[in-house]
Amino acid sequence: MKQAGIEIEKITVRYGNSVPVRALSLDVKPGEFVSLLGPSGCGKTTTLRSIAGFSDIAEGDIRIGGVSVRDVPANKRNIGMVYQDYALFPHMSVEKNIGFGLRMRNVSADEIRQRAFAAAEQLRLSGFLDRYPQQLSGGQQQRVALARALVVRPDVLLLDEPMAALDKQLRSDMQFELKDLQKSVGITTVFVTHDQEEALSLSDRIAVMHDGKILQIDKPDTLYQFPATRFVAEFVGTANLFKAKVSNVGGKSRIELDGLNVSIQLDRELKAGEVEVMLRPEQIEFGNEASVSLPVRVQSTVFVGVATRYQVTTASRQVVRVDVSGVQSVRPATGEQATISWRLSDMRIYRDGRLEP
Amino acid sequence: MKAGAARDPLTIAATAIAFVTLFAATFPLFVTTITAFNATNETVFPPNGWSLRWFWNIVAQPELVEAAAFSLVLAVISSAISISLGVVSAVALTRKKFPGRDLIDAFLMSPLLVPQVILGLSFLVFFVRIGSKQPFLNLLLLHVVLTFPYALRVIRSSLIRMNPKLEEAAVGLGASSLKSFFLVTFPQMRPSLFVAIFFCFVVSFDNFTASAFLTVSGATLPVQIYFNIESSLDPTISAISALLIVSSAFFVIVADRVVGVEKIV
Repeated sequence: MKQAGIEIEKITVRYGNSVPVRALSLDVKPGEFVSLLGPSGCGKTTTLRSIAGFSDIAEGDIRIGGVSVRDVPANKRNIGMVYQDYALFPHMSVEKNIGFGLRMRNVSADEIRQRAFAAAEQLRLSGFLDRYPQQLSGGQQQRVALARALVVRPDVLLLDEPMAALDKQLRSDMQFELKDLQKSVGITTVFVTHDQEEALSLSDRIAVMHDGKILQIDKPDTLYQFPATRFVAEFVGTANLFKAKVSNVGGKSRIELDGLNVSIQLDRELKAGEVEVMLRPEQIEFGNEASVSLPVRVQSTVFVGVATRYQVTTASRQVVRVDVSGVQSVRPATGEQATISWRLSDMRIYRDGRLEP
Repeated sequence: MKAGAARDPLTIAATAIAFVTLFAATFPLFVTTITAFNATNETVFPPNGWSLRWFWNIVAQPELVEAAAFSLVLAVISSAISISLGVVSAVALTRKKFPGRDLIDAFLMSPLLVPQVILGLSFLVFFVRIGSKQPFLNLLLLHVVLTFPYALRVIRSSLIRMNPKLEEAAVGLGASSLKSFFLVTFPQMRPSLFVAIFFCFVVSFDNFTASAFLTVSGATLPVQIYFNIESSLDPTISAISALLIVSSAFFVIVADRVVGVEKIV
């Protein structure tokens, strides 16, 4: 299959007085799977719709496969789109649904039939071609929507929260299936979601959006380990944030956590001033083996299978989340005093909401 | 669970009220239908004896047959016009955005709210003023105005219930907006079109008040029935009413089988 990249260059979308997308730029490489992740109202769906041609862009340009589609109407863009509610045509059989795009491209009836059969086979729908959408389960409907989008051999595949309506088990099955399918077809894909786990598990890269802009675009692990802003840190994964102050004495920087009698000697030099220290729950452990330690009281614990989630409170009454996985042996009980600790290298420091390099 | 629900007092009361209402609403229809089978030329209930002669007598009164044919033609043409206009207006009102849309929407529904006497009188004054010599066209225009709000309401509600993403999906798959309408939107409107045809037909065929103002030579069936009652009180009128009642019931049952009554309202 031919692969087309998407280049979005400083697009702005306006609806009356609201500006859901502001000067947004994004490059999706041919064959890449990029997720737009963000809270509702961040402009992710509008961005997707402007790639599809359903939202007019006031400024900027979008190129697909190097060709500007600014003035190309939606029905001429050769795009495959899957909606959250699938938008299958209820009065058409599965076969007719899948064949619709080919029919619009004036493909011969024989070839439509052949290609619809092949697409159905690829998505394990062969037995359902004569059924109607309302006779199918959610997962089957979603596969029909995917088959319908892919059978026309689109330049790009756009997915608008396609998993949101599925239950948890099915969703995780479909995630694997979608990823396999996307890799085997090799199609450039933009995926919109507000579910960070879904974005982390599916994407080559994730663009975290807020207020019509991309805050950060990175590989999932980079995004998780080095969130560029405090917002990203809190939106992707769980973030423990401590207010702190940096001071410099004799060319060495120290951080003091506010309200806690903890002073951390840093291995690098930072500007003096107010900052925030961020740690992921799984980077904190009980005991005082790691370099930074802090006394706490255990408030509650929840067992979630792969880990036990603790909520502990510091002397300054701040709640800290700690995840203890199966291999760690120290497990204090609720109400007990304990010590938490972490490694210096796991600490991320934010000044005015931005990551300190 | 189900048996318990049926025994709760509120359900029983509601069911009882529903049956009383149904009885009160349909009892006069039963009386009329039964009086049509009177053996004598008096319209009395219960009948003095039984016969079918008044049904045969309908045919013997050419003005009734003519009026029925006239009403039928009027209902068919006015419904066809209203439904065509209804489809176009409903699509514009639900799928397009333009200034004054809500105002136009309200205006198009307004004939439902104007008393029919005033509507009939206004049309009469208007046609006299412009010197129209076309009684059929006058009535046709009136009936389009009368039936159009029903067509619009039914079709518009089906378009509002429809998932607008479907049309978008069709366009995304390469359909022009015209193809998207005819291949995706229109097929889903079809049940509502049956309902709209039914409503328009009944509203037109049954209309008396407003139509009476515009009746010159050819009368519609309800107006002709009224004329006949003025001159004679034999059960012929009951017989023709009985036919109308039975055929209406038949249409409701067919409509229910085809699209389901719950979709009609």
